[in-house]
Amino acid sequence: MLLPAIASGWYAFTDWDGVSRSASWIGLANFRQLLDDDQARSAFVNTLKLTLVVVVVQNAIGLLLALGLHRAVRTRNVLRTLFFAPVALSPLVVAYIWQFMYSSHGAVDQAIETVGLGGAVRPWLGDPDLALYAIAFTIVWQYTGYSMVIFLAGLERIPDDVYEATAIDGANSWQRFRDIVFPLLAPALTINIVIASIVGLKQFDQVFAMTQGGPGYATETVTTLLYKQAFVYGDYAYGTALAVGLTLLVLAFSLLQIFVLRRRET
Amino acid sequence: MTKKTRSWAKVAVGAAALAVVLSVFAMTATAGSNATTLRMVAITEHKDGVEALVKLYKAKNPGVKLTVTVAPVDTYITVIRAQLNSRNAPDLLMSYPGNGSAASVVQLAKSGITLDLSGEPWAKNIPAAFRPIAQYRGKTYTRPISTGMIGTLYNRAVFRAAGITSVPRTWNQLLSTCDKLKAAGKIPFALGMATPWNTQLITYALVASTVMARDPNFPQKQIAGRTTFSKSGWREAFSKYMQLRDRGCFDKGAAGTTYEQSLTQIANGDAAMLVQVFDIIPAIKAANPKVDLGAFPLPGVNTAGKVWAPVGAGPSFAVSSRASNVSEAKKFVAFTATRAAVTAYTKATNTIPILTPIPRVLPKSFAPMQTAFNQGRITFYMDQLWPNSQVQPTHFAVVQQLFTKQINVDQALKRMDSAYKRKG
Repeated sequence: MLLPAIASGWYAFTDWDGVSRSASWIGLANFRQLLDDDQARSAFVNTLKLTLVVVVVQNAIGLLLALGLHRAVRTRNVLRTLFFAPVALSPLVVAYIWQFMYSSHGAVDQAIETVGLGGAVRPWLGDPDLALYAIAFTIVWQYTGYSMVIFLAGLERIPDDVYEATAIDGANSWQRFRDIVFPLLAPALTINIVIASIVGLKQFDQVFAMTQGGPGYATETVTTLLYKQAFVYGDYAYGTALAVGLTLLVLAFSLLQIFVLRRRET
Repeated sequence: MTKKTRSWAKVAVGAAALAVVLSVFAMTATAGSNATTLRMVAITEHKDGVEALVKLYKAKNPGVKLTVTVAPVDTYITVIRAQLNSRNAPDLLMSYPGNGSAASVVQLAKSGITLDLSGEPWAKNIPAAFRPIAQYRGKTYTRPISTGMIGTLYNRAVFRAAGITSVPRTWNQLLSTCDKLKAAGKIPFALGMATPWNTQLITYALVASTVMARDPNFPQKQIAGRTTFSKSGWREAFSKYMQLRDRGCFDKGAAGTTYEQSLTQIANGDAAMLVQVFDIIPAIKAANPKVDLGAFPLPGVNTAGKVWAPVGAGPSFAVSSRASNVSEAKKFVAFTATRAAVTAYTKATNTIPILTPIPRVLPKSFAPMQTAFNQGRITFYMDQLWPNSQVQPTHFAVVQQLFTKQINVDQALKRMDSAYKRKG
């Protein structure tokens, strides 16, 4: 596993075009280009924005669903399955379905018009201010069930006598959640935030399928940019440099989050 | 029969059975090794033509097993590179003529992906006008089969219903046509702005008149550094593209409309016109077999006689430098040079055959396009003469940015000039 990754990383220090049988060493030239490249900077910013939205919204909704379905609701098993079902779908299939739904006069527009909000209709994937968030919504829709399941597992670990004790003390629902349940969910929160962050930072399928980084460069992320550099422009070496940059970013984020969140757990 | 004899008999029967089985396998293997296998990667948007060629080739060569993988144009080069890198190279692949695209003759030859076919008998017989775009540094890599045109396809029923009795021949007439269609409740132009390769078509159609008709040597001057996008009629073309937007000639949601949706819009009569390459006409007819289509050159200027149309050789076949069956692959490319193959491909794709002489093949309702072609009011697709593979995707991006008002025309042209200067 390590050897292919190291071998790939080596190409970032060369001028390889992805097909020729030889590559020349050029040192840090690709990384200097990365630092000077406005498009790369913009791609990193878009990647961070997308990740932040996905992590916060996906975990917030996942937690609410878990709290709701942890109760003794008659249909809770059916509902748990329904909310988890999108996780099992292929990300590409989900992306194409939502692209169709977001299209002009598509299902989303029709739903909005049906409730009398026709003025709110927009070209969701064609508006540079909205497209990234429309993609984020699709990712959240698909993976919220995953966060829910992790939170449910965390809730199942909380002993019943803890709830009984808070009831005896006269705590209301919000106080119980804030002072007891949420702190005890710390391990589940750590897992959900770290995994959602990693997935968000390296997100490719939905972005590429829905907008290919457009309109213009409004939804260009590091992964779509490195794909284009490597496979469309034939600058495989620079694409690899972008991949190395992304890997370092993911590593830094993950370590920082684990450090902060594990401290919170203790 | 004694026990010993029975056991020997069992061995003998078993050996005989094994011999029969092995000989059957041997015969099967021998029969299988007579079948030649060719692997091809083709572009989805041209699959109708590819299927016509494959069918004809298999009929003439029944011993050849030809498997075709298709990929959409936006991901085609990725598929090629992935197959090459995974030691799974195809024998045949499609390449776009000239330069400019990552899958163009020049870019593929430069990367060593395709074989030099200069020694093939058909190489000397490519019509002179199309020879440069089949070559890199004087060597021939493909045999152009068809030439397409970018024109304004229109739904004739929608035009009739809106009371439009003739196609527009000048820029002002085009604007007036747009207004009449809007008043009739129709989308004047379908536009798949959300699919990157669609963004370039209206620009190309306008630039044919605003740049090439005025200076046919523009590409050569640009390569020599004597002019730029910013200093040319490209400025007028971008401005007119956005003038159409501001006049409401596109659907409100055009920025989020895909290529497939734009085809459905014109097929179903929701939209009246669509600026497109003619290769996609079968896809429109698949959405509505009864659609009655016509075509005319997009008039980018107010002098009818100076309205030009972009014409471009379509993709053709090259032999992969890592083909496992080079001789059969070369035989297929030679087949695509025959009159029967060219006719089959162009009939399936509504394009013009590259034969000598070029026959008149467009339907009567496309008469204005045929006239432009016959009168020489044509120019090659712009990207076929660009020096690297970054200008075209930059063009896609700046058109989307212009359309969604992220940048202005000056900024768009500067970005294109900057991409033009990058190493190719």
